[in-house]
Amino acid sequence: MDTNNERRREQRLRYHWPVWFAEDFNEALSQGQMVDVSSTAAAFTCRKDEHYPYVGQHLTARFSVPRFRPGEAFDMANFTRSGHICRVDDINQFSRRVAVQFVKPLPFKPGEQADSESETQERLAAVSHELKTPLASISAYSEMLVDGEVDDEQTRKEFYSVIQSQAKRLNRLIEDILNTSRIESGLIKVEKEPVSLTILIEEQLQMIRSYAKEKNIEIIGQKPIVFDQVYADKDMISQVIVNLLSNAVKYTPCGGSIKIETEVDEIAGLARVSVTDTGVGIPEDEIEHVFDKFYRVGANKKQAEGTGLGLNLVKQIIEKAHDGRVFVTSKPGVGSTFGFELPLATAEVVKA
Amino acid sequence: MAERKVLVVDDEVHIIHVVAIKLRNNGYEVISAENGDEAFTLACEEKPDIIVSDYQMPGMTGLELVRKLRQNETTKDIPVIMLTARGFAVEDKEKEELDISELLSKPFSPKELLRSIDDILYQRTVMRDK
Repeated sequence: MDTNNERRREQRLRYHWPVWFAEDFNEALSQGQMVDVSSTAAAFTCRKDEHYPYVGQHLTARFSVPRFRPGEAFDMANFTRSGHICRVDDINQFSRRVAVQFVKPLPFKPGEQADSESETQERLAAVSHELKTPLASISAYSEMLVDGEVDDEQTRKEFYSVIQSQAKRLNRLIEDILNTSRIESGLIKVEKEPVSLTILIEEQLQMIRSYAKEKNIEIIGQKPIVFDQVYADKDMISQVIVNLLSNAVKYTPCGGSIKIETEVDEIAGLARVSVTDTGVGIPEDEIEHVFDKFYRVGANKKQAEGTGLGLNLVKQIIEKAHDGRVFVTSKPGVGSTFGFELPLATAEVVKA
Repeated sequence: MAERKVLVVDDEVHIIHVVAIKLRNNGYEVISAENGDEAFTLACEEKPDIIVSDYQMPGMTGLELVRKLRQNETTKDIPVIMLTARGFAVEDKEKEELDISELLSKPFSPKELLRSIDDILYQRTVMRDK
């Protein structure tokens, strides 16, 4: 009995729950199976004399299982989407009494509006433009070669090289767009656990050091600090750190330096990571846009290649998937500081 | 006859480069700009015979550039071809109002662009001679 409960305790409820009716729910529960439920559906049933209102698409996924004395409910066991299924002794009793409330866990928070039609159109047009741009080069350069418009070998070689690099660029764009979309639409399962930021940072620093060395850029880490654990998805936060570090290296000229540090604010219950570089910086009128999709700072476009999606991904991961905050300050010609804050992995946060 | 001059405006350097090669190979002189402001200044100074401009650029869009060109005495009659990667970004009404000679969508064919330029400039010459 205990091992059964243990097993079920380990079967965590995931993000994605397909729609289905209470009866099916019984079936699955009685077999101790994990249930998949759509994150976009809302379903409800009535308790004896209470309604759970239809809540549409704006709440957090949660379900409640009433526990009965025969004929009446006397207890409610509540589970959030990251909770686990508990065995219920008399399944039939509650078959029509389970109230399930669904939400879209990402990207909507209570009160946030879904994208309007014109916003969606706008987004699609932006994506289309980004994809067609490298494609236009590939197409035009190929046509010129086919039509014999390029006489000398040197120019021909340049043309081949442009076609290749634009194809790579297109590929990177597609990957980044898919990645961002997956996170935005909640398709990627966010698996949170207590993780140490300094350990994640150290791992990524190992990887970036050789890239930085090529440009003779000094990376200043910090001594490991204790109690810097946050409740987060390890892979996603690693991705955030990679993006910030590689941006810093990309936009810092040879011989510069990058500093990464973590601080813990126990009163606010936050951990804060900042990456400061001596790079080209961002003009004041552009800084509010840097986390926008596809945004690239005009003056810095020549400095390095980029899809304009790296920072947007950072923002999605930190703010939408983890309830954190991203920030940036910068001075052109001096450098920039990019960073994020995440809630510490205290007992309350982990239980919720 | 003097070589006819084309001003190419696009924030993608690769596009400017390939269009320049195509046009120069076919007897045109090419000047270029990577944004609307530069383009407008250049248009006033050099008075090109035709302008080929991208629609989506940082800062001034292609449409805004044309609007500015049409309001300026020196540049108001210069024909414009617009390259757009955004499908229906330019409405017919706007195209007419701003007197845009042609809309080409990206990816575009340099061959077709050349043909369009040849046609438009030919028509202009014919009209002028009438």
